[in-house]
Amino acid sequence: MKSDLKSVGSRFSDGLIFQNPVTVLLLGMCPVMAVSVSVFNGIGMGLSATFVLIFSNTVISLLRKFIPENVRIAAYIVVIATFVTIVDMLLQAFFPQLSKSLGLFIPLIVVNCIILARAEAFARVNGVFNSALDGLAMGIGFTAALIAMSVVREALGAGTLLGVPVMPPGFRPALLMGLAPGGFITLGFIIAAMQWALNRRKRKGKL
Amino acid sequence: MSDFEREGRFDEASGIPEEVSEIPAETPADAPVDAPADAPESAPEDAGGTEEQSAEETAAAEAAEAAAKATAERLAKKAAAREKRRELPRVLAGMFRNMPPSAKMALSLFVITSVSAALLAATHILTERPISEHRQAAVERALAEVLPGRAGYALIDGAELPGSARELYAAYSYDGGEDYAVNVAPNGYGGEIEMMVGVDAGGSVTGVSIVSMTETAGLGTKAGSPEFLGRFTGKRAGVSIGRGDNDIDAIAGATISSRAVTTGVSDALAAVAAYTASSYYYAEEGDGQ
Amino acid sequence: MSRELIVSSSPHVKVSDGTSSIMLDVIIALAFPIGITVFQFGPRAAVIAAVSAASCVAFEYLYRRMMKKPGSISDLSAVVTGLLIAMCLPASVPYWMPVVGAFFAIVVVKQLFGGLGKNFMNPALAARAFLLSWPAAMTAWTASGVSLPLWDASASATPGADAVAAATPLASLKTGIIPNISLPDMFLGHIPGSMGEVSAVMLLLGGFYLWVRGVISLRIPLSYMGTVAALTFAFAPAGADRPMFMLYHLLSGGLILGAVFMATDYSTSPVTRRGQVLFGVGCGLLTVFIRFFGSLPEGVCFSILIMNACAWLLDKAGRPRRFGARAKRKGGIGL
Repeated sequence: MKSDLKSVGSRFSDGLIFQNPVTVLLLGMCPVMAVSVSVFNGIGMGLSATFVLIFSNTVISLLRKFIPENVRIAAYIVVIATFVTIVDMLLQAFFPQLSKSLGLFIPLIVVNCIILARAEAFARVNGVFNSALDGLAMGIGFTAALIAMSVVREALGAGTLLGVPVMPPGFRPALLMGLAPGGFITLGFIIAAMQWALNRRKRKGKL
Repeated sequence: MSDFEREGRFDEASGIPEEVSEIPAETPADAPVDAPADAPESAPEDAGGTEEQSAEETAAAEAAEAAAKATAERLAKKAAAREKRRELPRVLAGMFRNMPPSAKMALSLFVITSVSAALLAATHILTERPISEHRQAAVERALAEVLPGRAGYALIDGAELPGSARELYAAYSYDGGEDYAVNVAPNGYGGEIEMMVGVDAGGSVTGVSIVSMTETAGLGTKAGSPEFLGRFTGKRAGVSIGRGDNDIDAIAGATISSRAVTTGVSDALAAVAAYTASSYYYAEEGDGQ
Repeated sequence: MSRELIVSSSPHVKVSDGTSSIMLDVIIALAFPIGITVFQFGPRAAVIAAVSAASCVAFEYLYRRMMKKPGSISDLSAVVTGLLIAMCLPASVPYWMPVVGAFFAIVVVKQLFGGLGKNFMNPALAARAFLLSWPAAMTAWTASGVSLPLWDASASATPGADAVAAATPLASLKTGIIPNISLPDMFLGHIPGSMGEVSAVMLLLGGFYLWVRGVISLRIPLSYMGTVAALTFAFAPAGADRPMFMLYHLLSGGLILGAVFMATDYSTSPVTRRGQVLFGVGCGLLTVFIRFFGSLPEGVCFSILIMNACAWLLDKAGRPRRFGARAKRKGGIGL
């Protein structure tokens, strides 16, 4: 039991820090760049992707003996696309303003590399419970990265956080932060900060 | 069916099988399989009595025997079927494993896609109503914003819709006047900008309201601000970006978004002009106004 | 200098050139156009230049200190970057803008990539592109000859607002009309624009000084400006006076500033001769393209940045043939 708990914990720390899909594995950066302009969008996108990750990982793990090797990508895409469409329809019906702001990027979750990569690398060869857990952990890591990026980009690029002005009155927002170059620069700094922190831990012998 | 299993059933049925208990009491209550063998043995015993009795009893015994035989067969078939059902997953898995690869691919994909289709259909049924309600509410909100205080609004079918115009609505006021609102969706910088443009009967803009836009936050979204949209009020056909009386100022740094909104307003004015000049209008108006 | 290894035996001819002396030459060359901005826009221009240079030096010093690297501010390259940033800005920008630009240029573009010589983009131009985040402030051109107050120089606060918020010559060239400014005015700089770009004569004087001192070679500036001249002459709009159109294009915007001071930056331009000519031609092509077809009136900044990214490729194209090797090899560029 103790080893089970530890492996659950290590799965989460992997998803959040050591194998964070956005800042370490560098997957799924396209929606991160586009959606991390505001914190509200970032959280919405992160939670939607997490939902899809958990369910698609579970289903693919359940069907892993049933799907032949040579059509597996096609099968995975069908499964993932089904769940993304379900999320899209549910968002449109019950959270319309989030659906409007996320717009095109909900359907694009289908080709979000994170989901396909975890299906291929993990769900295909692991049991259902572990796969679901992995989906949850990766989704949380994705959401955390999105929140980190959007806090910086919304605060500097629009002067607000979740729509609430947070900067002192004389502050003039830097429009570049709301556009692609600002996104890349922010991501670069976040990755650098993470790597520096991780290297410090390593040097202090804690790894 | 193996001997072992037959025997197993034999052991199970060591009491009186339920079906067999309905048979008349003369038949010996033996195991169904052995019944045909036993019956003839017992028959002569029973027939050891009087001649008349034995004839009837023989007939009855034979009928019972036939019935027992039939029941036994039925039971056997049921047992066989139960057995097959238990083995089904194993058999199917074996069949699947031994299928030629192309058949395997086809079958697995077929199953996955069918289940997906079913799930999607279910979700669609669940969410259809809320989605159309939201859209309807957004349209009504926009209509009320550009043409406030009207008695009613009606969608006009079959109107000519130039450019980015999508729908034409008529708004009827309490004093009998008729104004129009056009739902347009011109292409902006980051996608379509869906707007509602109110046009009065005289052909000038009463107001513009944004239904949805996905422009650059802080820059293109300024084109959705009341300050910018208010510039269009009172403009007539031929509105464009510029310095003239019938022109508006674009937003510095958001040229494409400004141009898109202007195009939308233009198309709305054109749609209303086309409608008021068309036969629909005169047919509806009758006397005309 | 004292730690440099000597690889051959004496006698040696010692040249007194070092990074700092080259940078000092550039600063002297920049003194001409910056000097005249004080007369055109008032003392505010000099303050902006000083703030920009000081913040560049400060950021470089702080960064090297924090990252425990050897100090590099003595090579004066930060000062040059600061002055160049200032020259790209209109004189009415608030004082924090050159500071933010200095941070971006020194820390992000230069130091994070390894310091002097390791940047792949011109830091001053990259900072100018970054500062376009505040488009209203970056396009608040003021008329030349109106001295701006030291504090709060926004267009609305300055009296004579009509004359202050002025359109640059490039804005009217964009619509195909030759601006209503006399050629001598264009040459001397009595035009609205960013601080360093208005005075063509001073910029040319600075460029001449740099050439005489051997700091820059004329290949890039001449090929750059020559391409722009040729293209604007050939594709002048119908009905316009061709030579005038070409001249106005040559004299307006940051063309001379970019061609002489920005495109010739050592670490971001090719080393080989053929590469340098191609670099200049490419810059010229892109500048004219953006000026004619892009949504911006000025194309110099982005065209130089784009060509900076291609400099390594042009070096490959311009590689001199090895002594003894055959002239043509299959596969062309890249071998």
